[in-house]
Amino acid sequence: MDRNALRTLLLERIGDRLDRIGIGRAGAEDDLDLLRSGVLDSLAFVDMVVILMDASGKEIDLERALDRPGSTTVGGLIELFTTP
Amino acid sequence: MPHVEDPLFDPIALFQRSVRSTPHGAALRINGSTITYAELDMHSRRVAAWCDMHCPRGARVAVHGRKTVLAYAGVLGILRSGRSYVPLHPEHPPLRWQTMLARAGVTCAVAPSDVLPKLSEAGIMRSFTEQDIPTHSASEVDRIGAEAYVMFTSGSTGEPKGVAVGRPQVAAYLRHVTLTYPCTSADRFTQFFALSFDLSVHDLFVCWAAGACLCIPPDDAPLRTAEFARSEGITVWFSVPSLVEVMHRMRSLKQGAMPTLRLAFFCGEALRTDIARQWALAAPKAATHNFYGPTEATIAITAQRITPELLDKDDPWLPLGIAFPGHQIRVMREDGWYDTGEGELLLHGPQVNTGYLGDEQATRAAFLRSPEGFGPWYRTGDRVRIEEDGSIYYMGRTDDQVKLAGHRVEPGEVDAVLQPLIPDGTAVTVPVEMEGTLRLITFIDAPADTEVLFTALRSRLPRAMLPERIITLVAFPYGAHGKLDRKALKEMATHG
Repeated sequence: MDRNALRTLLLERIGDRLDRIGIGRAGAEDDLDLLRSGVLDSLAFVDMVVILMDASGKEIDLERALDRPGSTTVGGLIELFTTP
Repeated sequence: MPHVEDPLFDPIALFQRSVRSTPHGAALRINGSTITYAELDMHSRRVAAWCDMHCPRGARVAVHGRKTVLAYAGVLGILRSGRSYVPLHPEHPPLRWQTMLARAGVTCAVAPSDVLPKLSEAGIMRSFTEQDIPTHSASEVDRIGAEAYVMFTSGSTGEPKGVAVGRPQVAAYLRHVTLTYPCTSADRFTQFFALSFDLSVHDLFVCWAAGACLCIPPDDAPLRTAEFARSEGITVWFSVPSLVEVMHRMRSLKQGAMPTLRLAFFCGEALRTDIARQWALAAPKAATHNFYGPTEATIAITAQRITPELLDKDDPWLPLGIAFPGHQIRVMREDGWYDTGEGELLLHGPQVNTGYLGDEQATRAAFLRSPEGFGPWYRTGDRVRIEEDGSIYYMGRTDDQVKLAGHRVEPGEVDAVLQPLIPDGTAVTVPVEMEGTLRLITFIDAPADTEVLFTALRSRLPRAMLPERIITLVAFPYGAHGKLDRKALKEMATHG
């Protein structure tokens, strides 16, 4: 799954949450931190990662992956699945 | 005149004892820095002196809840001055702060300087900031006030309810917990709870009573909980079960993942047996206890030790345990009050408080006198079964209240914010389980711009209380007796 497809899937899944927090889909830039902004809570974020794992077919060690700075941003999250 | 029945267990007395015994020991571990008991003592005495100079005696003083040294010194200093503190969640909207501050009559605050403009809008007139810590004079006298803190919970009428918690009630809690679960200065405690959540009072004062170190998780790593526990050498854990659920879903609860833990408490929501099993694998040396208690009864009031036998049972939820000594529990049914059996749980004893701030109607509804004429008995709204041995089993709620990550949420509070914006319709919010997690969905039966509705909600409610979606219906579903069919609404939310 390429970067654009992952981004589309991510925005599709969190669209309602972006709206309710007042950011909107257009405001979901790469540097938007999904946890700090309140778009997702911890449980919803982990669920989102699992959804992306299933969609991309890439298994990742969550604890290690989330140790990387910026891993809870839109761009950082997509990067988890697009870098080897 | 001291108000605390047992002054030895007053929170400040316990803290001072540790200042004397371990002045150079670590009291706080925060953002990679360590604050000693002597340093925290000095900072808090400066806050106390400022309170004496600027806030009326007996006044309540707000503490901005960003987890900095200032906030912890603020909690201590306000209490040392004989006043009570009102914690403000840093992410709650200023309009909500304003409502809470007005209800509690607060005009003074301990807060970081960068939030002063927002606090000023919310009604704060005088502030102690981080810039005052190094320079302000320090108080030499401690006073014991009647009240320790005011915490706000969700209210179904649209305004948060303030619970004024007494220092005797806090001392009663600390007496039981510090004697029953002894800790030492070698322990290292977690501090996950927001300061506006009353379970944080346990974190601070059970830790400082032992002369132990309170470890604040870094706010840039909310998902690296197991790593935090390992790197800080955490020995005493206290969290909502939801945090462990997150760790479980992250696959962090591996065998022996948290080897240093020796004592763990859970509170704030029902503890699932399957999650507790995973927890026992990850923290094999930890004695784990399930606590239960509403804010009105001060932090927690029942406890259940989690044993291998309980984990082997098929019950989906673990029991709430038995009441702390000195307390009485009963259940209320339509035909009276009973010591055992099923019904709404009632609590009475030294930890139970007396009512809600400035809300006589809610106080009368929730704080009762027994048929024999004594009280107060707090009516919890929790449906339970009490066994002959006093063990309590949770069975659900008697009202619409739900717990989201441990926070009490009245769906009616969402509806109360929306109702004025849809004068020709009705708003009904229901909790719905989606992908294993409870979420709120709001239904309305009149055309409205949902962005306008969400803007109003964001200005008044914490993020955790925002509904997932607002769905517009042509008409609400009603059952055969003309009653709103909430089950049908939940079905619609789940299946579209």
